[in-house]
Amino acid sequence: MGALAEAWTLLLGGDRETWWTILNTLRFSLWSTALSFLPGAPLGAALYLGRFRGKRAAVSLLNATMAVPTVVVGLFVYSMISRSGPLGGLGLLYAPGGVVAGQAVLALPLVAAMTFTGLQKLDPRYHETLLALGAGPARRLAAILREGRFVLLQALLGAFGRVTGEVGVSMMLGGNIRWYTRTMTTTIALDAGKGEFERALSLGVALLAIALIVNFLSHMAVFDE
Amino acid sequence: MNRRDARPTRAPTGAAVAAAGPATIRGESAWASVAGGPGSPLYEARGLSFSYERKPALRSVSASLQAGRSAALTGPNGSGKTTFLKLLAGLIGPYRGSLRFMGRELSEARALRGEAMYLHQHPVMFRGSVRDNIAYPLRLRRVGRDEAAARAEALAAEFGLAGLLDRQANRLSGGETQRVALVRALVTGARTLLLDEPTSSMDARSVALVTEALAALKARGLTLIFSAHDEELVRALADRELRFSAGILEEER
Repeated sequence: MGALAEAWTLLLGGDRETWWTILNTLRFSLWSTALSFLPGAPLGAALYLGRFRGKRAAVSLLNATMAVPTVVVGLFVYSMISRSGPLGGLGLLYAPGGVVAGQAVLALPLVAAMTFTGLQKLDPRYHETLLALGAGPARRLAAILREGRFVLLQALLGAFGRVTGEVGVSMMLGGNIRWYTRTMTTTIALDAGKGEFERALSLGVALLAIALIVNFLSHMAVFDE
Repeated sequence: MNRRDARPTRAPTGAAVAAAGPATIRGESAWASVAGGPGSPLYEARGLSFSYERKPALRSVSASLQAGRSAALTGPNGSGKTTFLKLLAGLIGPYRGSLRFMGRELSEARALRGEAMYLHQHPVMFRGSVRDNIAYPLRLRRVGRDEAAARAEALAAEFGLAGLLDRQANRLSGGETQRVALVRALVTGARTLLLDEPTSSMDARSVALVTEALAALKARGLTLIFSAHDEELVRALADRELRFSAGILEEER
């Protein structure tokens, strides 16, 4: 009970490290969401629009990549950005850029899959009408993305929620360095491991609040549509 | 004879017809300059089959549809009418057998060249005004915004839709939507309309207005190929009737 009261004090009292961790997590999440969304949304839309052999296999592969554990994604990106990896020269490992890159790789299939799945719920006549009127692939893509913007918003929010709550990638690629790469989830893992629950609980409350807000916005997007 | 020789005189492209403006659909039939004129084969289907996933929807259909003539596709629900129309429109594929449009296999890229337009049973309107919707196909063909709007207005006026131009297109009634969709399909100069049950779920007045608009287009020499359950519509518009049953072309009359 004392730990919970102390957790509220850290949050409401404006504890510098707690709030720095929250804001740093949001900063990483915003960047990685944007970086995953830019290729992910067009990829999902292109998959929706495309007529090609092996489309079903491509969709299955995309769905399978969503189920890959975060530590495996972290390991893959680690091998890319470690000193001996092909991107080692960029100095991203144990730096904010590494966390953002890893989270973006983690969220990309989610954005693409959510976009694809969401667009499938659009009225199929919309795409057929575009085809019938002579819209080329680029125009169709733009028109479908405009029509399905609530789908995109949901994919955006879904990716944001995913990267905000993940721990494996941030821990492996950021190294949980205080005042540098530490995020809410890595702090919770560290503090809980040490038996210091106050900050872990305060950050847990903040994570829960973020998850609720993201879900609320996501439902509002669908409701408005 | 090589493939090029076998092809009929090349028709003007959708863009070329569009460039001539709405006047191209007025008055006398333009078929004199298109693929051999009225009565020449427009579509030729030979052993045409199509399946959704592994479920056959159309089985070895052979038919010839002439330019400037209207054909009604009739038959019960699920008999293959819409599938046949969508194949003619190039919206679904791949198909088995052969389907030629103006002598060119439809599976080839750009075989339709904007000459044939498909209209859904309940057409979709894009976000924006009726004017925006009618102008949209022109904008796709890189016609300038002002010119596209002017041509959309002229054509809408011709079809008695001038009063709807500023309305939100997705708030129109069923009959208004169908008529706006007709104008939107015609604005680029398409000479063939493929219509899926154009008067279904409409009140009597809307049915009359849409039938009147289609009859006017037929009189101008456009080719109408439409599916219908409405016998009056078939009698009013069709030169031929193709009756489908379980994916098979059962009867022609």
